[in-house]
Amino acid sequence: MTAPPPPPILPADRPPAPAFAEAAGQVMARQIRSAVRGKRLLAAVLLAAVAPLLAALLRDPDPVTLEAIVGLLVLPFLVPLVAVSLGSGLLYDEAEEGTLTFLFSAPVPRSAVVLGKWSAALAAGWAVAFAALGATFLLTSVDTGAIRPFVKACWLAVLLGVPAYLGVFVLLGTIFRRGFFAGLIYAFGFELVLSFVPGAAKRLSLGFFLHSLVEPHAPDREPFEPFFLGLPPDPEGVCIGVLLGVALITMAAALLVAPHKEFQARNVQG
Amino acid sequence: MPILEQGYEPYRGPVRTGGSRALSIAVNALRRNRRWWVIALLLLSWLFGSVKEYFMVFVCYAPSAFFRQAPGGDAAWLTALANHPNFYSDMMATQTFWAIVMGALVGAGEIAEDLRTGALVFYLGRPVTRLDYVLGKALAVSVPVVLVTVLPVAVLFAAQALFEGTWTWFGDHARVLPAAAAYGLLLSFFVSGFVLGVSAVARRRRWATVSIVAVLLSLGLVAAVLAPSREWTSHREQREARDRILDAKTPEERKAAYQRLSDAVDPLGSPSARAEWRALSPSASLAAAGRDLFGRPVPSNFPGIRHWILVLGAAAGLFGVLWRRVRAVEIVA
Amino acid sequence: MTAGEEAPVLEVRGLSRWYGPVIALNAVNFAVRPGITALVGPNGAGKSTLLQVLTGEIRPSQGRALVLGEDPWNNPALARRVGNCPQQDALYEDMDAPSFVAYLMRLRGFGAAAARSRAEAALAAAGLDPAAWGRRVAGYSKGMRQRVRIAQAVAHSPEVLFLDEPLTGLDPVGRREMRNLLRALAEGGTSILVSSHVLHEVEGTTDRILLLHRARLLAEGTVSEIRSLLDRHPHSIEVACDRPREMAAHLMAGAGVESVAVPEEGLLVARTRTPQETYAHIVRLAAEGGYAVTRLSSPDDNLEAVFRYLVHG
Repeated sequence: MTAPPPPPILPADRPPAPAFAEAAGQVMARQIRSAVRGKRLLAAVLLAAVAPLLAALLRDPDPVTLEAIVGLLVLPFLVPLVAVSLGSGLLYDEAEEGTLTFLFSAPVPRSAVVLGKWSAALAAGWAVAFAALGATFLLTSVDTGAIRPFVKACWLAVLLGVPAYLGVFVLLGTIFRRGFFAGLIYAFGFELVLSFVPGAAKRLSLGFFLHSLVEPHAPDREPFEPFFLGLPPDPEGVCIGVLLGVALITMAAALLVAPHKEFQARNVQG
Repeated sequence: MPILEQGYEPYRGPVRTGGSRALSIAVNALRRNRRWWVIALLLLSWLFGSVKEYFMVFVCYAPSAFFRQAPGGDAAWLTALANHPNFYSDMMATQTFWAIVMGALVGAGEIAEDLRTGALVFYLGRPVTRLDYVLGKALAVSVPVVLVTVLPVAVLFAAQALFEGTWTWFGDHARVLPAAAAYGLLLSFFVSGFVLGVSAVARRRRWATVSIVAVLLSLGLVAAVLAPSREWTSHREQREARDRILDAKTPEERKAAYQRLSDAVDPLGSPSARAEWRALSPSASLAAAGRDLFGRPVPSNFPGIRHWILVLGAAAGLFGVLWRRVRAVEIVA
Repeated sequence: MTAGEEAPVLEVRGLSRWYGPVIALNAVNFAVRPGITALVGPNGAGKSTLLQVLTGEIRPSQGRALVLGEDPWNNPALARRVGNCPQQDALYEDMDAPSFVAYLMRLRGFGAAAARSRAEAALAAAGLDPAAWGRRVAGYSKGMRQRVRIAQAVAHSPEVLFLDEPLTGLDPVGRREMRNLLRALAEGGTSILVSSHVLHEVEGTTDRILLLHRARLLAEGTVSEIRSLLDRHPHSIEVACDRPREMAAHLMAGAGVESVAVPEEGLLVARTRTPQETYAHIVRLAAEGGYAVTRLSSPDDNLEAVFRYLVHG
């Protein structure tokens, strides 16, 4: 014999839907709890460990090695990879799993769900990228006190780079079902090609602005030379503005697009 | 329990043998991946990977084909390049990138999705052994690898042979086709082991693809940080090396000049004190192994057979992971 | 709508939905009044698509759907009053059942304590053993997962409840419990639209149906109303009595009876297009002729027969 159902609620007594920010916060909290428990955390830790391990193994006091690690590994590889893994399948992945229905059946705006998921992805992305960068600085034999401006520039690049890349991939993932592949092609195809193309075309890549933030403060600029063929680094203010602007605009676009799209699993049966 | 349905009769028809079961699995996997964007990427790989080589061969022999001139004609220096022993091995080394891309595209989700959706139970619930299943999937991944690497070599070789065709030329290039086939086999083994092994662990196509990209890129970048490749000291020396090729009077002089140009920009070499770490990059180790097959010298930072052990060992290890992961039933605690 | 008639909770006008060349719903029109209504139809009929439109998961390609007078697409205010139990077997695997339901309740505006208590009440009503509440959902059986999905749909006492195949995965006892739950909810004022393949179970819950087939609405109403309109298929009436052949002769003399058969000793099957008159005739015959009638029933005045006649012809 089962218990009776929960007591009915009069329309006047029904609680109001949570506010936009509160709903986004609840979605974000749930995403973070889920991410911390899953295998993805292990994968993220392994990924974040590559750069620090390299710094620890090399034990090279020459700052050029540290710059190579940051300039070749962390900024153009780790940051976009973390962002594409976390951001490109934000909605369609959950739709494929079948649980997005529950979120969209709740009396919260869809854009609040998107914002909550994006916030969780941003927190996770920052955690991984900052952990990788921090551990690299900690384990390197380079005297980071002597290259403080460079270290600060690296922190700033990661701080702005993660939301910028994440915004692009979240937008791609919202528009396209296969946003993940579009994101991979952008990060490791389009940007890679642009890094070799001399001239102003480099400004079409986010990596150029990340490197522009870091290069002027590098003690030895040689590792960054290939990234500035035919185009010198942009001023810091421009880089900050572009990265912030890309992050905000892509995020706003995703919040505007999501409520008007249908996110269905592919094997829908009628 | 007797079967009560009177219409029932046991199947008494022929049962396919193991080899053809693996083939069925491979054909099915390829059929599922016969999408327009996979074919487009295949065409792109031929275009981008081999465009330089196809252009060289075309310019060398077009006058002969259209204007009845001797092969080479005005583009004698291109003929020297096209007939250089490095021509085909360099081409295959370039195509290694596309082989990995195509292999990952076809194979990243094969094991992951079968595990996630429970399709593995359907496979192994039939008279299909684990070996059939693994072989079939490996075959499916190997086909695009071969299409991207061995096929362009075979086509170009055939085109060259039609114009050159002397016994001396065949003698000089006798090793090309067997070496290309062996290199293709090595690439197939490595790419299928790597892609399917990662797919078996990832349990989802997307994460398998991310993991493949992450591992390959991180190893390559680490190798690039530890052992950056050799670079030209100046543009003047580049020009001088090219001029030596153009000024060469005999085919032997041209060959030697091209060899000097090639060695100086050897992508496998490194002036770094940690040059041996170059082997950490899968594409570099594969390229070094390919050179061994083509009979080319390998830079000193790839001593002995270490790169062979790395490539074969990694692939074998990942095949082992795949073997373990492919089980009919997951035990639920 | 006449005076005194309740306003429809669901209204669909000219609703069509297609996926490329595949038409999932084709010009569907109906109105559902408060109570329990069953949505039945074969696989691929469009039931899940219809439910997805009504829950606001997808938009119609043409026409419109109204739930409680409002368009459900992108309508958070309406979602407060609606509950949805989807067909897909998907839950947050890393959560335990009360946490999962409570999380969804928090998204509906309930405070933490109220969300938890209502979640537990809903899980208890859905019949999930409290001993399993501490375990993660990943370790649940199919039936337990189904109960969790139902619980999350009813925990906030919705005004309208959509259930897509809620009996899937439940054993016979569980199905009876679920029927009881639905009746209790309906008595509490919840209007329910439930989709199911299990026709005899649906009949045990409600007699109001919407019958879909190949994207079209074939029938709407009670089983008896629909059956009475199926004049291409005469009603069958079975009578178990001591002298079936004698009774058969008398029945044939009556108007409205098309044929009579005696398939076995003691059983008479009459086919008629006027079942009410024939019932009355049989009763009169039994009284006047002294027949010992032990059973009087209509084997095809049920949902399965209606389904069969309409879908298969």
